[in-house]
Amino acid sequence: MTDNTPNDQTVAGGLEDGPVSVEVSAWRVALETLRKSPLSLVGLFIVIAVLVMAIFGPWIVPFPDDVGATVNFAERLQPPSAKHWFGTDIVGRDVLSRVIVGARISMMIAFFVIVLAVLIGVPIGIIAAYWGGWLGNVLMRINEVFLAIPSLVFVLAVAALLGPSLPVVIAAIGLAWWTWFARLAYGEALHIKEEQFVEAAQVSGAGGLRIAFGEILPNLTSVLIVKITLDIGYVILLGAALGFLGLGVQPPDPEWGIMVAEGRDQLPDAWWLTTFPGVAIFITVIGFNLLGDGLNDILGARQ
Amino acid sequence: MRFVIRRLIELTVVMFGLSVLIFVISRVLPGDPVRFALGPQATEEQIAQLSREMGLDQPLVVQYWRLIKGLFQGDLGVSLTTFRPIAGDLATFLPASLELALFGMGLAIVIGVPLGVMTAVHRNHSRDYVGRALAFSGVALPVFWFALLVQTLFAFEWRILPPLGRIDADVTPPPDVTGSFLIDSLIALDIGLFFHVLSFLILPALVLAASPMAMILRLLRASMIDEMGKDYVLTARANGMPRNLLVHKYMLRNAFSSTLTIIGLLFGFFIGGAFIVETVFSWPGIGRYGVRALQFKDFNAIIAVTLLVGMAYAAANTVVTVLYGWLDPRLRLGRR
Repeated sequence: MTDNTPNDQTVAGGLEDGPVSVEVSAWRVALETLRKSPLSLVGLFIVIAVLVMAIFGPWIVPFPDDVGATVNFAERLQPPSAKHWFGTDIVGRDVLSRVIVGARISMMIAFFVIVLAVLIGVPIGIIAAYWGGWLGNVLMRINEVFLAIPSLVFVLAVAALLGPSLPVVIAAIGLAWWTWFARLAYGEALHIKEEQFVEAAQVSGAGGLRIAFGEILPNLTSVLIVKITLDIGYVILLGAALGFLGLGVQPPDPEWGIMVAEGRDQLPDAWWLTTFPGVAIFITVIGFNLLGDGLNDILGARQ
Repeated sequence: MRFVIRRLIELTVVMFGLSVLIFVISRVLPGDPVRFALGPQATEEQIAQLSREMGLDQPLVVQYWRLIKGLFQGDLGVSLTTFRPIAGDLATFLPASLELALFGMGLAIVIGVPLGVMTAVHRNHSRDYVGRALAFSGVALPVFWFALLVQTLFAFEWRILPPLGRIDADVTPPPDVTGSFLIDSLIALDIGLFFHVLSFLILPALVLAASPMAMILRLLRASMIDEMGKDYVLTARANGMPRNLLVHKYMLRNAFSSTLTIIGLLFGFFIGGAFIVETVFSWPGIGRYGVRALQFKDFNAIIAVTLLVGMAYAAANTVVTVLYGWLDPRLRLGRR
């Protein structure tokens, strides 16, 4: 208890002094929370590592040429060694290089899918909640129809019919994913709509659009940030599953799911072909999960 | 009763929307299934003829009407790769999928619920950390990779369990009663066959159950911890109620009702997961059939499988909602 009191005072004091110091103490609280939960820090570390791999991948890998369709039969199927830490694949490409650059494709899919899903889902959810009535009803029914197909099945069908490629994968997953953001935004906006500041805005004559996107939307940010962080992990899983089934990104792009599929024929002897890309997916998803949970603790103080 | 009827009406609306959605996706998206089915050597006349046979030259409304009519008559058209009726194929493969999914679901509940209770009761002790680590891993594991991992270890390395299929090719399946080899072999009182069939089922079911198990664990842990803070728990403890009784009879019951909501959602994971697991383990079910249809761009089969899966999923969710309303009458009143 005594611990909390001075903390509260700094926040209250900040309010009087101006917004800058509020931000500072909010950051401090966030840092403090992060410091107290080592798991979130691990998550943050993994996420940063994956982002670095995704952005700088082609420049930091030991064998940049092996990322594409190079063939080097002299070095094929070598087990992990000092030269090739993760071994080499069936045509002699360095697995480590391909795993590192693979982060780029996975992150690209996740990034664009989330952007698409947020841009479609959040406005629909807010509009359905704020205006309600028949419009809200129709929007949420459409949402339910999309939710009625398991995402993997829906995405597989769209990808197969359109012919698999990176843009198709992104479009297909995004088309399935917006429903979750619409649902989340809808539920949250329903609550926020009843808050006093929304009423105040209505009284002072603000228009519907202004209230929906000027008052309600900003109050969704923290929930959205948590959801986005967690979902990046799940989108990566889905994208990899598509690649594995041959209905996602196509070879020779170094995609983790494809790499596992290609290594499958070499099991159990050349275990490194499937193990390392799989571990990369696993660790990446865990990283986003841990970070998302940590962010939830920091931002979700309302509950 | 009114509650059930309302849910049924909603279900009908969703199913109608679903059929329109799938129809639109299959007809409006570019890509020519007929050309693909006939291969590159097909002449324009052949393509035109097959298109006519499939009714693809009709107006869209007529095509949609034929799809729905066929659906009610149990006619889903013919596969474009095998030219066999799809409805018959699906009927053959469905029991295997159901068996796998139900067994996996049972496994997820049997493992996930006790672990969820345990981690909540021993919160922040070593057992809690182990349980939560399991939960995090279960959700983050790529299903296809985990499937390959257990297959390689248990079947190819250690040779404890069979790697592929549902039954050995030289073993006669039990007489067909329920469609589930497991139950049918019990009905036939053939214990040897029961364990034979079980050995094929364990690995795919385990892989399928991993992620739902983790989700059940996580949610149950959270809602048990929620329950612990409630007044009735404090009262019961103050009155000296044994902890086991309190945890298992009162708290678990309350906590479980919130867990039930995600069981509907879990069906989705089971169906999606089945596509991958059945492919890796060559399990003769709808999922493997679906993946093949997708890979060969078998248009009619894709539509049929997606429709079937979507409808099963929607129906399952309706059942869960109704069940939930039955367990917790408060929910019948308000909106969802």
